[in-house]
Amino acid sequence: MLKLHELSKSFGGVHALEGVCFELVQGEILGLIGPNGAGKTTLFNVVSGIMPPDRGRVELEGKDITRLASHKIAARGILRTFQNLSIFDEMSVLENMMVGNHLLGRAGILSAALKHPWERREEKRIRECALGLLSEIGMKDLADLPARSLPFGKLRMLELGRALCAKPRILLLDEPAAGLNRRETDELASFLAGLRKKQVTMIVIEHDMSLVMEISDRVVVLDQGKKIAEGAPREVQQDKAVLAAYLGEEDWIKTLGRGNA
Amino acid sequence: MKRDWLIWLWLTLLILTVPLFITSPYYYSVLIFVAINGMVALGLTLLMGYAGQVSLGHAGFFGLGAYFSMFLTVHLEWNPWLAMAVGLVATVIIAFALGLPTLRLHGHYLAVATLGLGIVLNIIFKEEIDLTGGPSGTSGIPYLSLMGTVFSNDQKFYYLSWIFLLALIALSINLVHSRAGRALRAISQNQTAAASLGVAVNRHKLLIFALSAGYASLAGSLYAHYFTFINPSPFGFMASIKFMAMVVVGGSFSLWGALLGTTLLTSLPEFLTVLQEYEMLTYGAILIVVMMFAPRGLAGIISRAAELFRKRERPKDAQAA
Repeated sequence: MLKLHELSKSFGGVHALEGVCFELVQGEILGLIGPNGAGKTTLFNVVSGIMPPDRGRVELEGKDITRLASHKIAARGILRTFQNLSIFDEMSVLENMMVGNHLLGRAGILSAALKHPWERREEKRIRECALGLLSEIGMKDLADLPARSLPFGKLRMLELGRALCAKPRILLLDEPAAGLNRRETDELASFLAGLRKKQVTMIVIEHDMSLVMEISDRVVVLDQGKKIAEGAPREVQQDKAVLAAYLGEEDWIKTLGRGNA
Repeated sequence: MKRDWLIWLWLTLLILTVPLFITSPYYYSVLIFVAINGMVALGLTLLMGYAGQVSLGHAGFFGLGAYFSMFLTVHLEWNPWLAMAVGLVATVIIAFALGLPTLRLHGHYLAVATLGLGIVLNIIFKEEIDLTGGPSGTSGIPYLSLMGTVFSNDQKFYYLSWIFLLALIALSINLVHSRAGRALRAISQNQTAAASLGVAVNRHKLLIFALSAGYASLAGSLYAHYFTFINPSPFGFMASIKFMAMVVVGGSFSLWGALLGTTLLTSLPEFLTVLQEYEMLTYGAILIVVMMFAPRGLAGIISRAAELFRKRERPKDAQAA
């Protein structure tokens, strides 16, 4: 459904992405892994329209979306979360979710200022939809709190929930488990598994290998901007190039190897 | 949202009861100034606090409203209300034309562009003597009238100006608590995240900029019809700074902050005449002090105090949160 074709992007002399190609199949969860600086987040930034690639194409169901602005890509159903949280701190939890619902409405500044009856109905619909999703992520009680007062783990879930408000067809998650404790990571894993059942297609960047191996249907490995492996989690774990890329990062080899033992 | 409407209601009641205590027309004129400045500051709050953009040229838009009203009523003898409406539309179009190229760029380009526009407009007000009357100004602007009531004295104009301000506040409350208002706040807090959720960032910034210019234009028209005389001096660069100071002192994150700041900075120099000699110095000092000690302004201090008070009242709730 999403096709990346020969994507390249460099910053000065650094090749963050070099001719990366892969395809995303409807309904799957694709794990995107690689050592730090491999270009994973750059890939998300290019796909979500935050920065244009130097070369290459991104196609969504056969349509070129490479140079569309960020908000237009979101409007086509590709939503993302950020590695560094991007919560709107000064808004309430519910309001954060309602910004996520932005694409479901169409009221503008004038109809809002004049409080059209249809604008009221739309507001009600947006609010209910956001509240519904809040209870799905178990945060309905927190709806009216300012977002800045939440603990880190809840903020991660809030950001995920906010992206889900837009009813994404493809969800790009940039290290959703970073900073979470074991229990929160497990909750996240089961939540993502639940999303898969609802046919939400996802690319997940994650350093927590056990999480990646547990939820991914396929894994793509990047190293220094290039794709060095692609396949089922088991195959990738045994791939020599992947092990070499992680050489020196002992924890990683351990977690990568854990599947074999 | 309910709280905002409650404040709005109290304010309306206050405005209706104040005349019972007013003894001299002088106080009316101060309150009229609060209303007129408040309209400009309100628009500027939407722009600064809710969309995170700075304008250093709002006195220019304020002046455009005044000069459109003057020209159309004095030279072309139009109906003042029609002139006001045409001035509003024209100002909004000018704001669009300025905002369209500059708001595409990140950073403080809008501040610089509006600074330039404000200065250019002030030069036009001074130099295009045939159109504007030049530095000595133009008099003979007609009073506003509606269904036989001529708003010619301070008391009548007091009601009129506050009806305008209260109406604009009402529109703004609606706007802030809406899809577009949330989008604007999202933009001011994290533009990239807002865009990634489908918010058309540039479009929203442009619309709110044009809207805030429109508020200033309406205020300018009222100003012209109140004094029936205008010259370029209240529409210069220093006036833009004053409007900005009102917003910053009041607290740009809240609509009510704009009003607090306006009330304070409009009435203070009136009562402390000593300060008038050092007006700009005082504004500068106030801005610095507020930035250093209360970056969220008066409204910030009040809401913080309310928060602390609530926590003391209900320690259990605070713990649960």
